[in-house]
Amino acid sequence: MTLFDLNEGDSAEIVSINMDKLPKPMLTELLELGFFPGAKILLKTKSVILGKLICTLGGTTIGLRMKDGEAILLKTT
Amino acid sequence: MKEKNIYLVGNPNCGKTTLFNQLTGLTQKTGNFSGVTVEKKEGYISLPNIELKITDLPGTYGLGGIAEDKKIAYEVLLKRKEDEVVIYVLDALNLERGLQFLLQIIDMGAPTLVVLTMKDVLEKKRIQLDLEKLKQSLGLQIVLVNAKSGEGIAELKSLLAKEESFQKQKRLWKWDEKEESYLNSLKQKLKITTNEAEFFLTQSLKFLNGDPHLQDNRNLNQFPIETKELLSREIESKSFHFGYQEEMIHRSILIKKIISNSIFYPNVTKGGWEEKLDQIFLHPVFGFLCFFLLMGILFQSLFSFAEIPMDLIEGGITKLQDFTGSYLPDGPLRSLLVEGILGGVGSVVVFVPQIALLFLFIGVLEESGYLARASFLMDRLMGKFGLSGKSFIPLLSSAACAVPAILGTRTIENKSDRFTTIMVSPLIMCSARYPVYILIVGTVFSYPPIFGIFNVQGFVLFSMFFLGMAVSFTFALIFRKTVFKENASYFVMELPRYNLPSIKSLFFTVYGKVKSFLATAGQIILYISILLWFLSHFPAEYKDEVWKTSPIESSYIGRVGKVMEPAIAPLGFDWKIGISILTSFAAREVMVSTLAVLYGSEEEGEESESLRETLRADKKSDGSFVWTPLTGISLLLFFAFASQCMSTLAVTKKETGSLLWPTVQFLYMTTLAISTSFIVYQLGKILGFV
Repeated sequence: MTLFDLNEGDSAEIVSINMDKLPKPMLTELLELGFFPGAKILLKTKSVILGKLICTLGGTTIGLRMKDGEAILLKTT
Repeated sequence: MKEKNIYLVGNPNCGKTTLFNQLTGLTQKTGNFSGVTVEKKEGYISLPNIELKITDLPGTYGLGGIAEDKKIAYEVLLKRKEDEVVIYVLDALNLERGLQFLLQIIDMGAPTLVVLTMKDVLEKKRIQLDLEKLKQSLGLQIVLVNAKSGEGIAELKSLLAKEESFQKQKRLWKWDEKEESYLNSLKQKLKITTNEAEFFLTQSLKFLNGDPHLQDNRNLNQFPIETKELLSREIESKSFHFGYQEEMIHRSILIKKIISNSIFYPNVTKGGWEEKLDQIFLHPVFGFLCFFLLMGILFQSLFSFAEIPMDLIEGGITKLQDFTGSYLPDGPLRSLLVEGILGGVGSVVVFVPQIALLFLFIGVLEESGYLARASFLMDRLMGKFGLSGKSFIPLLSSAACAVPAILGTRTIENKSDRFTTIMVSPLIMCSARYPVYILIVGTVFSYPPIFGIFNVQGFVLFSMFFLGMAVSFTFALIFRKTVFKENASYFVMELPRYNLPSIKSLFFTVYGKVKSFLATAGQIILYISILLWFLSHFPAEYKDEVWKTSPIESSYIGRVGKVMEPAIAPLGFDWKIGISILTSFAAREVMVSTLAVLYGSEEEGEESESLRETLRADKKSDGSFVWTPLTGISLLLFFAFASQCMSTLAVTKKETGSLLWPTVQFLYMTTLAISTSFIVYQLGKILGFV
């Protein structure tokens, strides 16, 4: 399952990030924002019109594009 | 007296700049880091027996970033001198991410003092923090402050004076067993004892391990050839996992332990006012409505609120001119001082209230946390033009001035996005265009307020702002599809907590920006005013003890204007407008003072009714009026697109590191300005407008 597949209000644990699907600089940025294996993530909003996901992890609210959410692999806890 | 250098380090949105403003007040200076144009903010604190110089480093989430400003934080810390220390600003509500970066600073071997901010929010949210336990876990001195109110600042200042407040700490986290024992054996073999040397060693191992986040080998190059060869062999033969990702995972295990021991959250009920605000501001419909409403309020208030202080300043300048004039005998010196220098510089000083208001408004949007939401909202729209939402903040701040906006593109990691944003930023309506627009609109569209409250000028400005936005987006797409095709853009952004902006912090921001506006724009205008005064009064002769200056038509500049008139007539401009365009190529604001000089008006300034009336009454040789609505529109469009700002071209050269891009910028903007004015004027004439 990916972050894109998660339902609004659900949380899961990050398993890995598919490096091939993302530009390299974005990967570093994701890691520094807390997107690393083992981190718990909660999907707050999925806005199809804006093409965005809003999630919280480690006390921070982060917005990213829906298609990039497909590169973040999760397992439900 | 001893001087000590301190670096202020921390994540973005952690309260670092507010703390910097609290600590340094009016002693701040801005400049650039040596060799690059990333803004450096420095301030001084004088304490008994010691002078502290604090450098505010750009906020970053870690040492792995590739954006220009983030790289600077890494470079500065890497090249830190032995006696230079770090104040690490840690957001108490974002401990997990803040500690990740703090542990990286510790690994580098920097003596560090931790300042924990958001004391007020901790109390409000009833989060209990065991400061002693946190101090023990990190082995560092920690001060809890409320950067906004200044609570805890006195204690912090007293600690800053003491050497022992800044402590070095050994690496607190551990790699996996295999990597850790290999690292220890290497340290023994290479006789590595300090944190700094261990940091270089692990960076080298990460590089040799092919870590995608660390692609430079300068750490490895610090070791002798034999060591480099040994490390390469070992890393190749054994499968180690030295990497940024592994490092983060191991640090995070430690961080979770530290946090569970020292911070206790109450049962928080979800759905507070912040979430409700997000539901509105990030809504695909209401979010955009709010944004347009905010922009509308901004442009209306620029007129309603700025008018009174502008009138006062203008009155003051006139009095100063009268005063100076009354003490000097009639002649060139008096004319130069009163009309040239005071008149020219005065026409810029008059915009200070509007510029201050504009920066205040953008500052409030930024500090409150709204600006990040606006770029989130705009990302999809920007994506249609090949950019990401991150380009939105620089583009919006171009509404104040393209120079800081271009400097602000350093936060954009993607090079193609960054260069495109730099190229199109000057198309956004900036504050230097206001006086020109006000003068033109006031001259050719003089209407009373609609319903008695809505200013027509405000509406025109609002639409000129959107015209600028639309054209800059269109050109962004052209650049992205042609010159800057590489690198797909991406968007990931923290949506910071909503915050009430700190008045003190806003004051220092606005004060600093206005000061630099006056220093840079003011200087150009002073030189041009003097030059213009000379060219418009000379040749002159001294006859019968009286200076006789030339009438404007036969002055040096008048002759130039007459020569260029046939070339600009198809745009609807006469020779006087032509001269004002010529002089305003260095800075747009000069157009107003040029016209004032050329039309021989007594009063200068865009609010001057006499100048507007003189313009309205001016006729061409065939008897028709020069300043018609059609000429006005043509001139408005010319000023909307022409590249009339030396500072912007200079900053584009600095930021792109090449003369090519400012040349392209100048050429495409000037071509756009001339062709638009030509088409609109000629089309208007064919359709029967005057």
